Amino acid sequence: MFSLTLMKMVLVATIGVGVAGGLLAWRERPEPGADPLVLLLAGQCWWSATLIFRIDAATLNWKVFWVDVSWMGVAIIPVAWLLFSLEYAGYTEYTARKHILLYSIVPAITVFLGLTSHAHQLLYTSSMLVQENGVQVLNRTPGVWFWVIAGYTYLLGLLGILPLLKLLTSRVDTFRGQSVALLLGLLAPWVTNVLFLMDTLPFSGVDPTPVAFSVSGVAYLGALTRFQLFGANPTPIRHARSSVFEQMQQGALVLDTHDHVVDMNGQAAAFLQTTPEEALGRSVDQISPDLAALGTAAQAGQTIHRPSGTTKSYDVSETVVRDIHDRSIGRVITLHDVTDLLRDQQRLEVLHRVFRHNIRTNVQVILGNAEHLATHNSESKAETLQEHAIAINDLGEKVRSVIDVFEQSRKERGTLRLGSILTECIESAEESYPEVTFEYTSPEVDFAVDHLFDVVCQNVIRNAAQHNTSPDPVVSVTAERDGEYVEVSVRDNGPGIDSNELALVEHGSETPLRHGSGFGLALVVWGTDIAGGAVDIESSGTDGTTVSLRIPILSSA
Amino acid sequence: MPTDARTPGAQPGVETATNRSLITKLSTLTRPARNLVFHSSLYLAAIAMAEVVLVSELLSLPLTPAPLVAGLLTFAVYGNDRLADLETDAKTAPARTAFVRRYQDGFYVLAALAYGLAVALSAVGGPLTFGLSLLPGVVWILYARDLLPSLSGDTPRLKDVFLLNSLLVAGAWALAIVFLPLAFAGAPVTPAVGVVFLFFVLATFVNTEVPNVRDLEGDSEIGVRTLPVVVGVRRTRYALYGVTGLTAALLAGALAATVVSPGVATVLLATLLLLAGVVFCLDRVENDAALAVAAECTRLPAFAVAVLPLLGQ
Repeated sequence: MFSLTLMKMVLVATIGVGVAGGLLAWRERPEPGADPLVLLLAGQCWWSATLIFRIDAATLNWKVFWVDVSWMGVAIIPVAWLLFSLEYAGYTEYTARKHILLYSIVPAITVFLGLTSHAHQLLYTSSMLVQENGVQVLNRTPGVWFWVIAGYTYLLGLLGILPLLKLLTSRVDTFRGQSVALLLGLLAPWVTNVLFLMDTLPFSGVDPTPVAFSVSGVAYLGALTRFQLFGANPTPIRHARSSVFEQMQQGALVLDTHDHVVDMNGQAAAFLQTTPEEALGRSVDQISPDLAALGTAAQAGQTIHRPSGTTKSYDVSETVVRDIHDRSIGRVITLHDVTDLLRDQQRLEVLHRVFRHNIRTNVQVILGNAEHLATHNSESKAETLQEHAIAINDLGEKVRSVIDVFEQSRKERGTLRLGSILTECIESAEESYPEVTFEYTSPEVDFAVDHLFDVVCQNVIRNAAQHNTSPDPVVSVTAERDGEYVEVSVRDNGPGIDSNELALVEHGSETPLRHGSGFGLALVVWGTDIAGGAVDIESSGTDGTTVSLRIPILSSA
Repeated sequence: MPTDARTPGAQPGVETATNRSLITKLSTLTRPARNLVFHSSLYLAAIAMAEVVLVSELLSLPLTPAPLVAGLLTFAVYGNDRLADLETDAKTAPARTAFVRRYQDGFYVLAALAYGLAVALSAVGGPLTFGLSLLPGVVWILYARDLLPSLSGDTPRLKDVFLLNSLLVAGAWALAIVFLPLAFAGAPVTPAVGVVFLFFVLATFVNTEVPNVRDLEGDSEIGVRTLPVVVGVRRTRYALYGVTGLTAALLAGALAATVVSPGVATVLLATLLLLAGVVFCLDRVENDAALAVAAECTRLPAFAVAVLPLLGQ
């Protein structure tokens, strides 16, 4: 028989290891799992200490007393174990205060019933001293609540094991070692308690579970020292994965083999103009038919997705998800916003074209006229030469304006009052084109708008005046509020805009065959786009042109 | 460059170094051991053990594991305290701080094991000794750490509260020193126990305030309110004379009321004389660190006088 003296010695060792382990864990606070581990070891030490006192107690009342107060430690252990396991493995969403209170209800009732056990028979129905192998031991018959707390302890013990089992297969050696040590620490008292309850241990009626805590203590100490329990722990793994998925710049959708959306991040939802609540569980075809169709197109190298109704462009890539048997179990589709990239590409193309075409044309005219001037003294040729040189200079100024607009797109921009912008633009145009009649209907209330609209409005109004060849040229400007926007219309009675020029507005870019002649319209289109507005141009070809600018209101001025 | 003819290549300076005195050599050789003993609080643990043995002898208690438990507890608590205050101690005790910082991980593990062993041994003595062994740990946490972060906003650490800091240390120390052997032996609490307990509370209070004179500047900077910080060194000396005198009066009264025997009173009064001598030297000797150690050692002669003869029996 395992003598009580030997048992006491082991219990003393258990307390020693438990207190030392608790202090080592205490030092690691606030590392995840440190607090619950301190609590767990404190509970074990209290249980072990009360068992020693119970063995040493001479009377039935004292032995009963120490069993009753031991519940203060016993009941705390399963809760502390579960919290430790959850925190350690990164399931901290289940360790909020409300959860702790919930887990603690049954243990709290148990402690209360333990302290009042003399008044009821819920924990124990009877208590008596019996002689076993010449030793007087306490024999208590378990009551109903004893089995409740026993079952609850096993349930929480099991729940605490689950997160650790996952870490047994971790690729990190340290985490595997930690998990094995922690499981060993749990299983030793668990198995001992089961064997005791089945009455298969020769311990003279004394529950030897606290003795097994010496094994737990050594295991936990090993996890702390050998496997750096709090020096390296897997807590961030779960959170990191979800955090990376949620906070990545790209939109990401996870599709199952039937193309149902099973997960998506906030970016993907924003890109596809939906919400995860709406999209999850539905077919990707229902969420974004264009994107679904891109599956085959992507194989042909067309990976740009342009959702209808937006000016956005996304580069789509697809990764097949495979299980350990190399079976395809779904796809991850990532959307990378390349709108700015494509716009920059288009702008470069226009810049390139203007420089290549317009400057070359002007220079050829200058060279031809200069050659003529060399041999003939022609005032008209000299004027032509001068005009084209001025045209090149103007082009240079326009390029500078375009570059300024591009630079503004990368900065935080200020605001200007729309009323002031329009008034100044009209006054400036009146000065340059005195033959043109300007009509202006200002908005009832002034609004603050992006200051880029200064350049935009200036170009629209000057273009309307500059290219107006009507014998009685008129340019009328109106501004009206439309919800969160203000509509500015610039109407002229000139010859209209060439359809080639409108290609930039219609397609957002030029084509090799259809391109405009300068930067004026490009500045209007790009500036409005960068400032978050929209341009619409109606040109009859003979009855003039109406340029409508839809400008977002930033605040009432 | 001149060289020594007998040892070519050797320089005069080196020759001088090889002729260092034996005391200097011994001092160099024993420095690591001295550092270990004094900086790690091992000497305090030894003093605690000696005091428990002294108390056991004065109260006629049998020898129990109490001295060992008290020594382990002292080592653990003071070790932890030194680890916790590494930053603030850097000004007042740079050599000790450097030592503790160098070995802090191993030091903490040792302190934790010491506390674990102390609690485990005390459990054998019964619930009372078990509770007593937990007490210094609880007091230390209250004393040095912000136990409840939610309350720690404007709540000062007990360690920073004027007088309460020293009284708390003195009370916890005296409880462990006097009641551990009593609880282990299962002896009743008599008036003599009360007198001895009060003696240790008051004498330890003086012990605690002595090093505060050395730490005056550092404590002022970090806002710790000790007696020297609040009333100055001269008044501190008078206050400590007062506490020592009060303790002596207590012993005299107890002797007159036959609560303690003449032998006990004599031994304890002798320690008070030594303590008064240390207080007298406050701010009058250069080596403040040695003075602090001397204050802590004032009960050792009494231990030698009362206990060592027993070894011959």
